[in-house]
Amino acid sequence: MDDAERDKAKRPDVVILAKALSGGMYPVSAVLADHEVMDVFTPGTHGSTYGGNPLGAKLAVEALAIVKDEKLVENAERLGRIFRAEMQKLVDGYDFVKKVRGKGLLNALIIEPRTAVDGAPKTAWELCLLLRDNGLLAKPTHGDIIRFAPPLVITEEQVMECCSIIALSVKQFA
Amino acid sequence: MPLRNLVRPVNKSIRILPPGPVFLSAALDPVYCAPFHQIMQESRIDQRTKTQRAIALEEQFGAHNYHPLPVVLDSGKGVFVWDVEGKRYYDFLSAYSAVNQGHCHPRLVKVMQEQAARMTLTSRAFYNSVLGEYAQVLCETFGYEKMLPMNTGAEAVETALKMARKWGYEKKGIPKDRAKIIVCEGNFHGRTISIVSMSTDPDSQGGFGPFTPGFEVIPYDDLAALEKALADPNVCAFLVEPIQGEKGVFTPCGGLHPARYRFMQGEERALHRGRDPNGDRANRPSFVQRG
Repeated sequence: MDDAERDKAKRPDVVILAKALSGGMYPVSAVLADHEVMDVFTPGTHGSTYGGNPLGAKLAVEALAIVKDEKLVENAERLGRIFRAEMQKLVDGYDFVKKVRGKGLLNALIIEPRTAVDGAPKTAWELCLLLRDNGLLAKPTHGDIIRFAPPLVITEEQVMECCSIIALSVKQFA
Repeated sequence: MPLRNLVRPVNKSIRILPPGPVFLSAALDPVYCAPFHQIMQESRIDQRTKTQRAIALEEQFGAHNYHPLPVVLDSGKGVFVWDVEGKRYYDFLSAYSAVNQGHCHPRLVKVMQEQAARMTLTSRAFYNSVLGEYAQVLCETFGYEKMLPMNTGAEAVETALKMARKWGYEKKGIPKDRAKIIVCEGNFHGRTISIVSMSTDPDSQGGFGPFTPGFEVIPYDDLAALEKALADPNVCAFLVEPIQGEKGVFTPCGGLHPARYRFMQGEERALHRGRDPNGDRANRPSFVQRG
């Protein structure tokens, strides 16, 4: 087994891509595989009217070029570390902020739902409303998890400003 | 008098409206307004904010299959979005990471405009001048020999499921209609019947049966459970998210795990036994990764 074969063996046989493949312009997805797997599809066995249309295809080429040209992967990796370090300060500073986890700029903050003085529940949803009021939009995935996934074009300065907004909102939530 | 004579486009009637609050006729389609005198008779001044009006319309006429945060977005640029009141926000959802390049990236806007004016859809009944180049770029970027274009993520997942099953029958020799696909607890791949059939989320699945058979759920990031499941010769694929986003951003503890799984189950073991690694390739389940 040479290096090329070894590298090939380390990757999945099939990769499914969507989401940012078109940079938010238009739905574009794709499935990647080698001949051995892909060739099970023959004319008439599978398809989609819009799949591979010129508009989506052109957008996907450009969207991928942007990821490379603007070094979005590297940016996400670097700023993700900074972001998690800042979030860790909140985990250390507040009992109800349980954990930060993630990779690159796809992260989650886990909080413990609280109860307000009037007995009303205070969940990740209420924290997201505070974040909104302070100028940052995020969505809870469950009652206790907030996902933070900014566009990967974000700068370090902007990440730091966002960390301040999150810190302020957590303080107001406490 | 026919209704057609009573209505005209809102942008024409809006010119004769005084500045300030917008008049809305509750009985008519919001796209059209009755002539001014009729509006004066039939409607009241709408004192709601733009945000309230937009939310009310969505709530009234849209299916309630989402629970959006109460903010009405109107424009976006890079990491920022603006609501209908003009307030600016950082977008920390990015349409579930679909706008990773930032909102309205100028290069994408340019391509969108140019290609939209040139040609948008041919169907695959014919070749088009862009798909070939796109296929090449995608294959070369990710290191694969072939690509199959779809539109939504759910469609691409369905494509992979079909491909894995067909491969199982044609290449691995799984008996007819017995192919099995291993999936992970907490997965999220979309909303089609087959995809919710493999879901472990009661909200995604409840009330939508009967479900597509042929899925086996194992815990995420559990090598022992995977090895056990793979012992079944009817397994044609293992479908896994490198990061479980919807579940709450779970990353596998040992890094990107399909590679680890592959080594455990496939070539590495074959290498240790001194066999041709490609010799048992046809008997190895196909790994499917979503990213």
